Amino acid sequence: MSNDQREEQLIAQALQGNRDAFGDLYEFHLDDVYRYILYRVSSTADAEDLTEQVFLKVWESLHTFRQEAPFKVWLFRFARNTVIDHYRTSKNAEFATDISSTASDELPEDMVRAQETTARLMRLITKLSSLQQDVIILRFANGYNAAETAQILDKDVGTIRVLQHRALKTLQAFMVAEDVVNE
Amino acid sequence: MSDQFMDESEIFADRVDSLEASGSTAEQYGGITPEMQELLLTTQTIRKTFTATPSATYKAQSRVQLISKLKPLPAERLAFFPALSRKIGTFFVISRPSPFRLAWVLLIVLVVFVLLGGGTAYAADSAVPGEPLYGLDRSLEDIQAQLTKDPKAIVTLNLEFADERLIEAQGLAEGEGTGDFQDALSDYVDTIDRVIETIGTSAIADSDHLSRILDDAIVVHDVKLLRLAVDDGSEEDDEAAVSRYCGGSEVHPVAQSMAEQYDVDSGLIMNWFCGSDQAPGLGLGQIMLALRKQDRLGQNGPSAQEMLRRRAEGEGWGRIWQDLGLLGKKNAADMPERAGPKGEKKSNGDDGLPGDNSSPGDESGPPDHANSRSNRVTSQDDGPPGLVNSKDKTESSGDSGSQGRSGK
Repeated sequence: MSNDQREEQLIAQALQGNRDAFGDLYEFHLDDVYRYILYRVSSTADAEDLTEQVFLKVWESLHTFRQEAPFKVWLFRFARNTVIDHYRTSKNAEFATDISSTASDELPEDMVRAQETTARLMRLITKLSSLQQDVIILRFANGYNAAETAQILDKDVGTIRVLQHRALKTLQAFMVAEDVVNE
Repeated sequence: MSDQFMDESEIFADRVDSLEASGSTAEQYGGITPEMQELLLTTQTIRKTFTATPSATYKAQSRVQLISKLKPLPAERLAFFPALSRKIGTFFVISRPSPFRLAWVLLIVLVVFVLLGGGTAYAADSAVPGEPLYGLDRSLEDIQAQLTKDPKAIVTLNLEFADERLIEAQGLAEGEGTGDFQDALSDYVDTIDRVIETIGTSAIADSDHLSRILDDAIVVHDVKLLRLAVDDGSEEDDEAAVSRYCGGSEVHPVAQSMAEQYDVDSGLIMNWFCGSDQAPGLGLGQIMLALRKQDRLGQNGPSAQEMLRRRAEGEGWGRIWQDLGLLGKKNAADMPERAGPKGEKKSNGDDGLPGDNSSPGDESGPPDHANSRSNRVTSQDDGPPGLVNSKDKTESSGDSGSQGRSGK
């Protein structure tokens, strides 16, 4: 059974009220949603809290999922709205980089350097517009292609490509100014 | 956006796509400008370093925790007529009607379908204020609401109706129908009022849980209300919309509508919405709820400012109303009560502008929206917004709903 078929089956079971099936669906998408939220809010604790909120909202709205778009697109729209709401309701919050765990096979030294680069890059990415941040994170942290990113953000692919280019150019300028070098 | 810029973006996007497809590195990629190579390297760095996953502990515990928090699903949906069937379906599944009531509803539904045809009833469900079928839609909702007895089912049902009111308001904002945008918002808050009344008359043990459901829903409604003014065709997102309205003197249409409906200065509403260094901003749904409550309670109740201050501090609506004695029993005080003609709204010193540290009578205030406030709102606040007049402040429990604003 393909991942898509399995996902479809889990959604159908969850719609019948099967909480375990929804738990499987959660595990299936947890890493992806968590990663997106983490790099948008820069705090492990907030990312964990918001990830849970996303899935609770998805559970309550599952009956409205019409399969017009892939489930992950629908799911990420919830994730994005949750992040937007988080920022809107805590807009005076200080930026805090708190990444306590990264999965990596690298050696400890490399890991430390990578974490430093990550923290500095995260700080710079937060200087981009919200939409540009979404594009950069969805494209390069989550690995979604331009078409998938366009669906999640409800834009056309051309817009995503332009946003991606603009965002990277701006980010590059920030990196030069703050002496952050590419790994 | 120039063609040249578009071309450059397209070329770069093609290079990124090729790099992804080939699995090669930016260093290996030839035939491109050094600037483009640098950008490709940046994408590579992000891919390489942005690889976080949840901690093992979180993974191990979160699934169980999530499942324990899943609420019962809304009623089963019939395949036909999505929203209309929701109304009927919820009644059948949740309210467990008596055979007599069941037969009565079936008869009504049958008559509606026979007389108007299923298509008409379906069309009614998507009608907006000002359209002929809107009345039918509301009547069907009323029938269902009146026949639903379980407080939680009533709350869930009315929150679904409130969602529909916001969709209708969005339709009107986008030019559908001939109805008034303000009427749609008024219908929305009427529906929320029914939720509050239900919570108010339910047992104390239930009211806390029901209040949390309402708190969560209002947070979602906050975002929807904000979006009523966001043009989908633009690149502007919700954060940008907030920045636009909070960075200048432009008044959000929903704030304008509330100002007219409740006879409150739009600048005051925008200051509640935008917040300040001393007080976080609050969603339009929260503000609407506070204004409605103030309007309903008249001079017997607290001001919207006081309720919003407590909400901004993280207290849930349930806790706030409980302290006001509005929960757990029928409340005569909660019946509509107009405190005199419009324009004579009380000015008890609680109406100071958030972020306004000015002296009494100082109308200079903060820039932007504060400048638009009228003399009708008399500020007597000396301190930071929301931190004054906290005479009724009680120890805050964990009843903060999902707002989490003050904790950030």
